[in-house]
Amino acid sequence: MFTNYLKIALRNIRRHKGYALVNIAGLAVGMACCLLLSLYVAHELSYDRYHNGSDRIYRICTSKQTPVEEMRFSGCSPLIVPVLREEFSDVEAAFNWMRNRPTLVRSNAVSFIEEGVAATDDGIFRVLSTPFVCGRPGTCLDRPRTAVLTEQISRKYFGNENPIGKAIQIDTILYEITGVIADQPTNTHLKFSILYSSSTKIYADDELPPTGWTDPQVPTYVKLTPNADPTVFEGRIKNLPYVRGNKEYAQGGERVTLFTQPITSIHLSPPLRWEAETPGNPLYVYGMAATALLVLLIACANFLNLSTARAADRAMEVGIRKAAGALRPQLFRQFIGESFLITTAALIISIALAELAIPALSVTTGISFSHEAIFQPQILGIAVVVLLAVSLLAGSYPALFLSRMQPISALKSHAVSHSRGRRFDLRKALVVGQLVIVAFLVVGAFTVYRQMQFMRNQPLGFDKEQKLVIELPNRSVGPNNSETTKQRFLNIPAISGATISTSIPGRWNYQWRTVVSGKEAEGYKRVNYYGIDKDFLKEYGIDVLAGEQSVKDRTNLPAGWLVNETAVRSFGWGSNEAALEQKLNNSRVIGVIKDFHFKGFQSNVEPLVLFRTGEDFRYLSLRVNTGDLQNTVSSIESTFKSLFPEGVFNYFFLDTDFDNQYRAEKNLARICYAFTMIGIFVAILGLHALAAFLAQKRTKEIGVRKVFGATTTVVVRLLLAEFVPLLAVAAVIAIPASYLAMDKWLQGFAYRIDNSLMPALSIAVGSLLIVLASVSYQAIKAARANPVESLKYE
Amino acid sequence: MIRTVNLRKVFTTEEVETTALNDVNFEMKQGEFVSIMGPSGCGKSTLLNLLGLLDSPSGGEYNFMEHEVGKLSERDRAKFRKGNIGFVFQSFNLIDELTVAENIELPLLYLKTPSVKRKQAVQEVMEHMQLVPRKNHFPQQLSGGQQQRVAVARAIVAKPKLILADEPTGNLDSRHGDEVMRLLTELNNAGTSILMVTHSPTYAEYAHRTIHLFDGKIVTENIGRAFGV
Repeated sequence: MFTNYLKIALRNIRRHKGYALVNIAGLAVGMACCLLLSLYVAHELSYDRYHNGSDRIYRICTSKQTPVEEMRFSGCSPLIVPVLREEFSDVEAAFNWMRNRPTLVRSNAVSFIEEGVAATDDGIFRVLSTPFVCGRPGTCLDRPRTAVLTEQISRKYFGNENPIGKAIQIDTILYEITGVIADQPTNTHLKFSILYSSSTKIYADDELPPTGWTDPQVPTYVKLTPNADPTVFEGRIKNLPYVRGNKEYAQGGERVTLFTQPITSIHLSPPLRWEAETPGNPLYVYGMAATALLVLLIACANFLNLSTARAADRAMEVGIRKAAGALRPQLFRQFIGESFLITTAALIISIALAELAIPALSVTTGISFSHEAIFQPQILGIAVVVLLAVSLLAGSYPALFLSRMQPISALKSHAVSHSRGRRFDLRKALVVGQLVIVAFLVVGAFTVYRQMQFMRNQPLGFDKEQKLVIELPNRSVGPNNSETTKQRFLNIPAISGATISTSIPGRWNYQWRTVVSGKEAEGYKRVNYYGIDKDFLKEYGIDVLAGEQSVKDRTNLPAGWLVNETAVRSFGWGSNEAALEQKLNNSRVIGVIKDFHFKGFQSNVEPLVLFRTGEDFRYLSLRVNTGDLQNTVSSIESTFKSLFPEGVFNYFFLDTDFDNQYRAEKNLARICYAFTMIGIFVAILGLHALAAFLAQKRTKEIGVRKVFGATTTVVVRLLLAEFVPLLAVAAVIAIPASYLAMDKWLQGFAYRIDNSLMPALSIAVGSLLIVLASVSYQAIKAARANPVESLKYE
Repeated sequence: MIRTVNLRKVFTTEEVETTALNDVNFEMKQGEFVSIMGPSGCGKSTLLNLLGLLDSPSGGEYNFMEHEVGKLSERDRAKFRKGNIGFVFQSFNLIDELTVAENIELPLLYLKTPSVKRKQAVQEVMEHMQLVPRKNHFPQQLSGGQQQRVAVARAIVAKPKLILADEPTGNLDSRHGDEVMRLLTELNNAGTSILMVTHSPTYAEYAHRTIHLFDGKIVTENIGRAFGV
């Protein structure tokens, strides 16, 4: 029996190649979209789950509450780990780590600036799953000046040699390599390349700021014992800062408590302050999953529609089989089997398509997916579920419809229209559904595009064009040489301006603990802080709204604070002029600057303070005016090397770097555009085939009408009359739905486009008209046919 | 074998009610060959469909092999039909995607006959119908007469007790029509009951008995050749 079904199915496909191709192609594309986005979604949902006992691993975080605000930090005091290890029996292991800024690493003649260099101890290997390639976990970082490398770093500096026992220089200190660990997977928020022992003395004691129980600067993780109750544990650590450090606690004026966060939830949770890595956005993850499903739905609707429309062609066969003794379940199984066969063929092709598209997915998402990723058990599991769901969902209605036919009706093909006499027309409902999805996708993609353009073109309040920024070697530029360093670069003809600072827009900045002098009782406020030189305001084009004339002219910068407008409001000073009478941390406010977007448009401008400093400079920003960029960069590099022979020349352009903040939104936009085009393609493919089929079914009617005087125009209108009302219904549903959905998405941006209805209306109607045009082609073709041929066909 | 009492069939649409069969009382013995004649729209095919359990009556009784089958559900009618009734249609009604052999074996598939026995039965019937050279051909590759031979072969492969033929010669020329009638007569002589709808008085004479329908009622009955001789 199964062989008979298979033979019939294959021969049917061969006989009606066109429709089979449309079905298989549409399903293959839809399923490929599903598989690809499953890779992304699975990756995002799997963060840090690969660690053994990941359900017992928690990050310890700090909450600081003042009378004016609550701030939540991703780290806690470094004093906590020893206490956890010694006094908490429900802690199996614990560690903290201090991640360096990008650091110069050198071995033999090879040197690079490395990200992901961090100080820690062997506790990290007891908490996290970090397979060792060589070396012994448990003792690798127990001595000062020891380091563990990842495989990739080991190959970079030592090739295929075993690096154990060899030396590597991190910043200015030599470390002995005691271990090599496997490269980390991409689905972890704790990314590192080199770990060195935290017991290494890098700074003299008087160089270090005092460490207290309320300081939240160190990311800290614990692994609880299997029987531990995490709620009880959290309750016990909550007031540790108060219990252990009550003196500093009382002075600080802040209420400081600790709380835990499961490691597996960190990536998709709202970010805390001082996160090591920008977390993912669950809205985008679910949005992409929904997009893939929508494209698959369009393909399923095509399949259902075409199969049901062609049911009349199979009616005779159903009648014969029933006359020969077939029962309804047997016929149902036959047609479901055919559906399964087509879906299986589509799945095989979809896997091939997905494989081809993996490089594009990697580029778009910034995640490096291997070609084997598709064959992971969970992705294959999703593929099987999709196969079964599509076969059953898309195949069961036609199978039910056909198997239910009465033998007599089937033999006489009376069941031509499954919808005749029924109130609910499934085919029309499916067409409307497809068109709604297409319009929704198009409006969505267009809104994303408009918001991206807005963010790219909106004035930021500072000048980011023509800025080449160099990362300075650690502690290389200070009060004694900052001006001379700048002058050396200004001597290059193409450089017309230079400024040095601790941070630049778009990059990490300090959070400074400030208090209004005389109002200490009201509590401290942490605000964004830039340490700048006298040329920063001029070079970045930042307007000064209030202050001394020299400050306003940007010719001089005396000691004192510059605050932005938002800070003035945040401190409750009433006006810019009133701010000039205030002091912060006992230093006077010397000027108020216009708000500028030092972070992206996703968030509101936050309070910002600037202070002229001579220390901890990290960035040198150069204004470049030249058409010959290559030579200019060479000159800059030569100057850098002459000033900092041990340093690694690392530069970037500020406009490109700032735009990286929108990486997630850009990735979303690219995926939106791609899947919208795919969705439109699949919908047009299916509707085109459906229109062709329906026109063919009316061949005799068209022939008769033309014989009796109908023009081509009249016939085309007749054929399109079936689709035009469906387009209208789709537009009425899609336009408000997509408008509201996009409005909700835009609420996530502090600065956003004006989401009026007109653009959504125009775009939705436009996309539906494109679909209509494709359907019109079939109508015109049928209308132009010779009526003699039409009637001879009958 | 067959007995109907006041058999009725009414077709109802939104506006019109049509009585296709009106209190038909009909009997047929095992081994008989009966033909049904009448003008177009008199209810011949409707009667055939009811007797073949392809449709259900609106009223009256239908006994087939001493079982009351008129009120069975579609599922039960299908179960009863399997193996007991074979069909031959005017337009052959072969499945285009199946070869000659596969078309013939269809009833045996639904009877869940084991593969070896199935193939044996199909081979026997093909030999009897002289279809063996064509066994791997598709219906589109056969002439009308050959297609109808395949249809007859399919109708008899499960050795049914009754064959219902609805204008089996309607789409054939006289030569092939004669051939089909000869086949049906042979089957009848071998013991299979046959009930045939026809427009042709010539072919009606092959039957033991001809009944005439008019406006859904049996109006006359002719005896052809003697039954039981």
